Amino acid sequence: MRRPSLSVQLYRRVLLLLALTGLAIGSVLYMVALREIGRASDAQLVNAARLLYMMTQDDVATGVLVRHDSVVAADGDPLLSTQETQAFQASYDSCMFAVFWQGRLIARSGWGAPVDRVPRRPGLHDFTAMGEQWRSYGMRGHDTRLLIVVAESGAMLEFSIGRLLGELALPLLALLAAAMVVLWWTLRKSLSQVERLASTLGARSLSDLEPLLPEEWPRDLEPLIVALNKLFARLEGAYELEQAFTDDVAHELRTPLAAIRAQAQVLRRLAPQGLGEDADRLVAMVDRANALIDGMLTLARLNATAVTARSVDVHALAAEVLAEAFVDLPEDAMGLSVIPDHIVRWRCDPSLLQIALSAVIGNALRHARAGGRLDVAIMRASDRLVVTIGDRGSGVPAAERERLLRRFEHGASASSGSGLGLSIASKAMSLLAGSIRLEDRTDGPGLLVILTLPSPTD
Amino acid sequence: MPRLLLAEDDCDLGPAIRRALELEGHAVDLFTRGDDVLAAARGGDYDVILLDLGLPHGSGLEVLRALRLARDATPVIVVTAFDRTQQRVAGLDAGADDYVVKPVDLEELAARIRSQLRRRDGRADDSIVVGPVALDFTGHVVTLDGQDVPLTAKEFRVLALLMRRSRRFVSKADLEAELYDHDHWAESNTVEVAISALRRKFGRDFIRTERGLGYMVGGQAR
Repeated sequence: MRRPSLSVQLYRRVLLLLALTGLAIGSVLYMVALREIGRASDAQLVNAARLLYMMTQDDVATGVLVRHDSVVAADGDPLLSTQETQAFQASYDSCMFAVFWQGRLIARSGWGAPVDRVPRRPGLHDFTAMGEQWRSYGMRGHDTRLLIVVAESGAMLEFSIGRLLGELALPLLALLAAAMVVLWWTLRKSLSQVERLASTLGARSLSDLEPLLPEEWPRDLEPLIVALNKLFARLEGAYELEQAFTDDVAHELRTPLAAIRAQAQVLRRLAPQGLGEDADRLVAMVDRANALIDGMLTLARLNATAVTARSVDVHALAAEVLAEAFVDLPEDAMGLSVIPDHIVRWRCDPSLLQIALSAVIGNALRHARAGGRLDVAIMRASDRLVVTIGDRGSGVPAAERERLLRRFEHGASASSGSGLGLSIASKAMSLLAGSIRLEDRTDGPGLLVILTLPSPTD
Repeated sequence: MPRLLLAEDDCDLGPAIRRALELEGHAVDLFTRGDDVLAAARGGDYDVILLDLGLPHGSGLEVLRALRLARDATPVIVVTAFDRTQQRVAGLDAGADDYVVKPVDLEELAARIRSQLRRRDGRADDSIVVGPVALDFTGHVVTLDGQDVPLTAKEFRVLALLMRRSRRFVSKADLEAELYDHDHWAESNTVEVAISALRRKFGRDFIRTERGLGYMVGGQAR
């Protein structure tokens, strides 16, 4: 299921609201327009009736209608001449009419609804004829025997409203589209502050716990900013506590070890020949305990490390780590080779890479010393840097490799390691966004540790 | 006999270090409180001060700052369990001459004390000692176990660079560059020739070679 997007939700709702409002305003306008148009067409009917009435006045005055009491609008002598009918039609082209004298039809228009459907009453009336709605107006003359009825089809009314709507539709649609665009833009613009907040936080290093300045952000985000600042303060406190704790651990554990070591070294100098070896063993034990403390401190501090990146000569870094690891070993203890023999630059955090290399090389020296060889290769590809460290030790069974990268896991062979070496390397590599893999060497026995660093642009 | 001031509040470690340093032939006064250390350092005439940072009644850093403020230039080696880089920097910035993290190897501590004593005597600026070999820049003299060893100019330069960067690998390219500055027609095997000559004179194990890394002096295998 897709997670709901605030902006899309808000957009949909505002758009719905906009559409409903538009629809409501449109309907009200439609009703008003309908009423006004109805009123106007009623007025038109009244005017048309009056016109007809005036046209018939001559005949009424000359007594034609009275004289021909029984023969109204005889064929040879129509009540309304053709000219008069045309004049009426020119003014009121959509109106039909009928003229009654004492209830008898004496004149009618040549079009429109059948006369027997037309209401023969004065005033405004609605009726149906020919499947349509009609509106009629009846008007009595001065002589109340004369009744003039004018009628108009409702289709005419709808026709005029339909045309109006047709003319309005395009601008309205354009307005709606513009509103949609402006609305979306406004929403994105407002929500871009949230994106800015996210990218600001994303760009921070792990140890950057400075509070955010509320005045740099819109007021709406203030609750979020305040909550984040509280979280930062708590993290800062926890970070300081952890650092103080590791410092305490460092001090409290190292001092007694230092005392034991110093005492053992004094013993060795003073002891008779036979005891010197025992004193050496004691010193070695203390060194092992100290390596364990060092490893734990390194691991604990890695959690609070700020990851930086700069251009690093990985070859020089490896040379430095190897020099430190090999400097106090006899030259014939372990053969060593590094390829290539020149600068290999890569952008990464040098101290983290050094910790990882140091841990892997230290691990090889502890567990694969008997193999007598250590081969380091640095390979640069366009998208990654790979450093392989191969020894000639007994290797690690495939089933045990995953486990070895975790804390305090020793290999099958009993050894002097703290069990932290490879987990330290693993932690450092993950902070570098890289990876560590253990494999068999393909060119003979031994373990191959593969460190991969991603491209800095990733 | 060099006089050392040892400031260490741990009741086991302090006496153990004192004992070891006395065996090295130093006279050692042990103090456990910061204020005592400061008073003793001002009053006594010590050659080197070994300072723990976590002292009661005036931390090591406070003692160090007070000493330097009073223009006391006695060499100070900080011996502490605090190993974070910022802590090292703070110690060195406060005026420490050296910074050692516990548990320190007593032989290494003795070597560092010797180095401070040499520096105090003004001998360290122009000479380097690596194992049995001492190289004097001013006099262009190199000795092996105190005996002069005659060297050519190229051999001297190669040895000098190796000793300046002792306990680290020096690449062949760096050595070539060192020679090139002074010898425009250096041939491709000049470095190898110089190295093998140096090995003949100081012993095969004095200079270590590793493929892809270069040369190193100062390791255990000298």
